[in-house]
Amino acid sequence: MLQLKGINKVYGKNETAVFALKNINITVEEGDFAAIMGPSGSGKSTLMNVLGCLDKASSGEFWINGHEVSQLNDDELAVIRNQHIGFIFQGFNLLPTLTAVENVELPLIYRGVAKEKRRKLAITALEQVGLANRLEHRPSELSGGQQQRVAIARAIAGNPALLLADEPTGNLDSRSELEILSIFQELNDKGMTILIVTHDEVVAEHCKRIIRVRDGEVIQDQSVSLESRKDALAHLQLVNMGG
Amino acid sequence: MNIWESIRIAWHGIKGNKIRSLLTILGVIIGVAAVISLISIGQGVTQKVSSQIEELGTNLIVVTGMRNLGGVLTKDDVPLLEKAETISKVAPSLSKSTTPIKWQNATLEVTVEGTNQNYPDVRNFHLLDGRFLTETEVDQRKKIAVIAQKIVSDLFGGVNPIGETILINGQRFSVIGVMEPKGEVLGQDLDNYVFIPLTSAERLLGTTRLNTIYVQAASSDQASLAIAEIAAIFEGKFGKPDLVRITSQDQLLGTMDSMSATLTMMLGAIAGISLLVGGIGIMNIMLVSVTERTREIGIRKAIGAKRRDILAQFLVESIILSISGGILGIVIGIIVSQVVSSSLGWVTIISIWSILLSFSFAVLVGIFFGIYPALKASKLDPIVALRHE
Repeated sequence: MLQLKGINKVYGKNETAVFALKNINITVEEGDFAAIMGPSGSGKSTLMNVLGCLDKASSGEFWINGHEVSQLNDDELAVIRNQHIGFIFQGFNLLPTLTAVENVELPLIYRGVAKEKRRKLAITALEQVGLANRLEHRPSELSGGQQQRVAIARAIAGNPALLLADEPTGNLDSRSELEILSIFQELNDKGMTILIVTHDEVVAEHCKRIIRVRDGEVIQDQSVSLESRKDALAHLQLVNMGG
Repeated sequence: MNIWESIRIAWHGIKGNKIRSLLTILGVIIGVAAVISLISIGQGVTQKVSSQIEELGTNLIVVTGMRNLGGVLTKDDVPLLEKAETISKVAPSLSKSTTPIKWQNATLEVTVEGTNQNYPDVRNFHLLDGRFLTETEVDQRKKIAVIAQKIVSDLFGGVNPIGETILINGQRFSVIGVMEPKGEVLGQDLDNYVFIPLTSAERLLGTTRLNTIYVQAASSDQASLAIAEIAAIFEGKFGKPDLVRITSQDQLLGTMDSMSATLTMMLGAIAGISLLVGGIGIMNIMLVSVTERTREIGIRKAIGAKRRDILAQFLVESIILSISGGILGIVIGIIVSQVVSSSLGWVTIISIWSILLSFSFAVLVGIFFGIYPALKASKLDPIVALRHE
């Protein structure tokens, strides 16, 4: 459902050209749960921007849910982002003046969903992340973990094909980190495709697959052994029981 | 996304920053209020002056002689003018201001005006009490006087003056009538007059030179014909043209109207400039707002807002600001205009067109100065915007 074929991202021209991404070929099947890892400067942010349709590749094909998006203009990309991708950012990126439920409704507004329906979808999404009792709270009235859960609700409210998370636990304490990861796990169990960009091995351990990037190239693409996943999942359950 | 969502989002942005939004639209409020109140004052002045000129008489034409050039008017001119078909009535005027009058021990300085029986009709003056001079009395050089309302209170202290005898320049005149109060017209106090027969005035003041001849045209359509005829009559008398100045009420009205229209337009234009400055204020704040909300714009774009969604959000925001400023400005403009009229006693006329004009100008200003910040916002790259702190 997600396919990158020979994606290049080049800054500058001719002799001064710098390849941020070099011949990237990645296929993500529906229901996958993958981590994209790499040190800073490895090109993983650029890759994440291309995957999120925020940035365009210089060359190559990018298929998402049957749409070839590498040649689309800004507004067409906005539609793709709106309908097929759910974003989760490191800094939560909630609008501070809106309540939790209003924040979750936001992508649905741009999709043109009618008022009552989007309120219902937003509430359902907030219920899924365990915030049914925080609908009218503003971000400043919520903890970091809760804010990130609102952000997840916002990402999943429109039922996108792909959930794209950029360092989703980077700003959180380890307790909240595990909360967030268990939500990802639940969503993935229900069939949601999830891509997490991270440099945290612990986070990556929870995924089914780790794609390692360095100098703009994929250097390793491996499945996580069931053993290590089990350990990570057991850890999650422990935390859940404790909470 | 439909327009109502844009309005809702924009309104939310305005509500989130009430004080600043109010300060932003202050310029527009003042601009609209200034346009409306200044135009209402201008219109009030126009109307007041027009009605004063209309009160001067009906189809009035004023003839004055250029004495320095030999254009001397006398009572002999009156029958010449009365013969003209375009003229219905003629009232000569021989007057002298600061003439002392006395009743018992009270004295007063007034303007004595010698005239004939036509004066009330031509000048649109009405009697309050008693009667005016008759033709016979004028011919017989009777020593009778019709006094203005103000003299009744100032000289007689409220005593009924009819039948009383007053001394004008030391000569005895008997009071036969009282004029209705006229007030001040174009800076001239019309309530400080004593009217006596022209013939008596010639003797009393020792001259036969008339100051003015008031002429009533047969109808307003014939006013210009009458002017031409009057000019011809005096050209025939003096053998030279242009020895008399002829002014019709319509000319006076026209001149005053165009003067006050110019004045009103100037006031409106000055106020309009302040509206324009108000618009620049909106643009200024909207630009700051776009910079401040760069991250918000990035978030909105990342989750699916198109360029035109962002454009609409900011454009609608500045339009809402200018509309609110316009509405507040209308209210304040009306209040200012009422306060001016009640506290200074000026006539103010609030016209619908000034309200519509200033309001639509305010909205246009909002659109015009809102476009640039909104375009700037809509063109932001979501990646850059999201990185913005």
